[in-house]
Amino acid sequence: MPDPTLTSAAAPVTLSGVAASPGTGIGPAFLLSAPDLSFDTLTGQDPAAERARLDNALAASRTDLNGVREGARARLGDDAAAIFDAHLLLLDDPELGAAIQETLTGGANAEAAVHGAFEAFIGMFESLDDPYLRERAADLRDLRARVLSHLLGRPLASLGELREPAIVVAHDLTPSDTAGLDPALVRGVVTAVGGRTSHSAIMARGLGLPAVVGVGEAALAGLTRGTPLIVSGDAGTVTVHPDAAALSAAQAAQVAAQAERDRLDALKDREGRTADGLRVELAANIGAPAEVTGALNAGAEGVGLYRTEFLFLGRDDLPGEDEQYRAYRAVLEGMAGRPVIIRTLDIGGDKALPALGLPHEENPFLGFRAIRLCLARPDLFRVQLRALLRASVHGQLRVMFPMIATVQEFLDARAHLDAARAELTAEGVPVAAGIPVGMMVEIPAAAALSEQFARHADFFSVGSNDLIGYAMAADRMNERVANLYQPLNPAVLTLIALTCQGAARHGKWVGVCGEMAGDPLALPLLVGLGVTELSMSAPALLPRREQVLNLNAAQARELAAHALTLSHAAEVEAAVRAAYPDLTPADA
Amino acid sequence: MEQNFIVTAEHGLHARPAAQLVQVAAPFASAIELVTADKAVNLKSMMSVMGVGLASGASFSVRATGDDAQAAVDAIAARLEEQGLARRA
Repeated sequence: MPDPTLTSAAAPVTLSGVAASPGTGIGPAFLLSAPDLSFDTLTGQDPAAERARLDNALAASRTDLNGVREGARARLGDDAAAIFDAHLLLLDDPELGAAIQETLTGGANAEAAVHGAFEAFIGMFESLDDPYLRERAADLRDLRARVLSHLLGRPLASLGELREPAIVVAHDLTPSDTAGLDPALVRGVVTAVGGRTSHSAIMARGLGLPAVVGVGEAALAGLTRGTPLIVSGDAGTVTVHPDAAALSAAQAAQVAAQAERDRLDALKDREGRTADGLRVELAANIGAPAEVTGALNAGAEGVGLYRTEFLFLGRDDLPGEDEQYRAYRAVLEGMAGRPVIIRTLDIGGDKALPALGLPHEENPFLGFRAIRLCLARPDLFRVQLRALLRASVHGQLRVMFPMIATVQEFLDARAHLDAARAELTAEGVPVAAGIPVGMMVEIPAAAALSEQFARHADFFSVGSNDLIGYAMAADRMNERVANLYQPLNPAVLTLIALTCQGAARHGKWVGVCGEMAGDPLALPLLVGLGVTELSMSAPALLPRREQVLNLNAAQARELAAHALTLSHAAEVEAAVRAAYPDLTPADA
Repeated sequence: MEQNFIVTAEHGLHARPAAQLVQVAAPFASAIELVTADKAVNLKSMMSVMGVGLASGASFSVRATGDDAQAAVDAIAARLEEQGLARRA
């Protein structure tokens, strides 16, 4: 039976837009309106005083953006985060800055100066034919609203106000809007403007929310808060005031999608084990304690990677020992005795971390970062290690060091951990015994020398994203060379095979915590090479568990051995597809 | 310090690739400009550079003034060539 509160006496109307994110959403409209950022244009102001106000607003905006960027990275990934890199670059733009300063010098208030300078550039970009530039106009509007909201002391309207399930309706969702969105309450997204590559669309797909964008301003004019809607993200339509028939059809579509989810959900409590009995632990990657619930709901058998850097980003100071301890303890307790691998700080010159005053580097990914930084800054490192050890009594902690290139670095890092343990013991603070200490294998040097590393490290976790990048010397964000970023290249598989062989000689285990772990094409190869733990984003866990349960490890070993003899990534892919014809193209 | 270039990118040098140059230029102390037939824009500014549109085969130059001018021009030239956007003329 259709829910009577969602049917309506008004005649149904169907709006057409761009199918931006699949799925069917049913619910009342929640109109996200922009805050009142109106202001009076003043003249004869003190330029120095207005400059100071502006600088405060810019600094506050910068802090916001760093935080929003890392939030987006944690929930939505690097592509979503890159939008905020662009915002940060625009915020410091010299031309924009000069235009604002000129108006300030003339005696205008900061609000008028900011508004006017942005307006000129927005107008210019919007008048152009290039869709890329028109999207930048949206960035500028979003950025201007942020700076003005700080100048005026009026917080931006937030989806944080949402308390009931609803379909979010907006002119356009700004990146800042979507960063504050609770996917548990949002049933769908409808916007007046935008296309498949607009921010709203990208973010909705990242969160798995049905979305239809670009339905037009006029089409949305008649909607009010609570108007019943159906969003059909596959068809690109929005039904306003749906009748019983439309509602039944939408519910049937939801039921079918739910049935698929239920089928997978039934596997939630099954131990990760191949059909022929090989144990493969399926764990989740998380960036914050709040993600533990999602991980457990997806059946995570542990946390294979807790990225602690999110504690450090988007702020002007450093998190103290107690603050870190609380975060680590929350994750360990949340996982209730399941293993939790906490990776020590993995940060470098590519991330704005004002408190560290890191110099800009030409090549941050080959530079002073992660364990290199931590070993050079024991003040920073010790605080984190003490916090980890203090938290260790609240669960099953495994400590992991990132970006290890030499055996000496691993030994030095572990010596710091031992020293921190000795300090705590001397202070009478309890610390768990026998905490496994492992390392990331993301630098080819570590894979090449895995046998020597395995004498010391208790486990390895292959950071496949960086390992592929370093092995192929290709940045996948650089579209000119992204084709060289080949997870299935036999060279990459050979490095993983070496890692597994070195580990096996000393009875140590190997996991994978990069995107490869969640890739259905890579999974049989990884298991076949000897990987026994796969850590991935929560949404991938159930489908990959189903795949592991159906996998024959002996067959996977044969396939992997064959893959190592091939020359091309495409041949490896073809071999995997031939062995597992059920992998649909959508699984690629 | 000034270096001439010819656009080699099939679709020309437009907003998206041009915006990458800002990231290369921003760290240098020198003033850096992208000079086309009809205007000179600040290469450290996304705002200015995104308005640039150069067709394949068009010529332009990068002009830097300051202590690290040579390094700046070299870095930009390297990026233009690596990305197949332009070659030195």
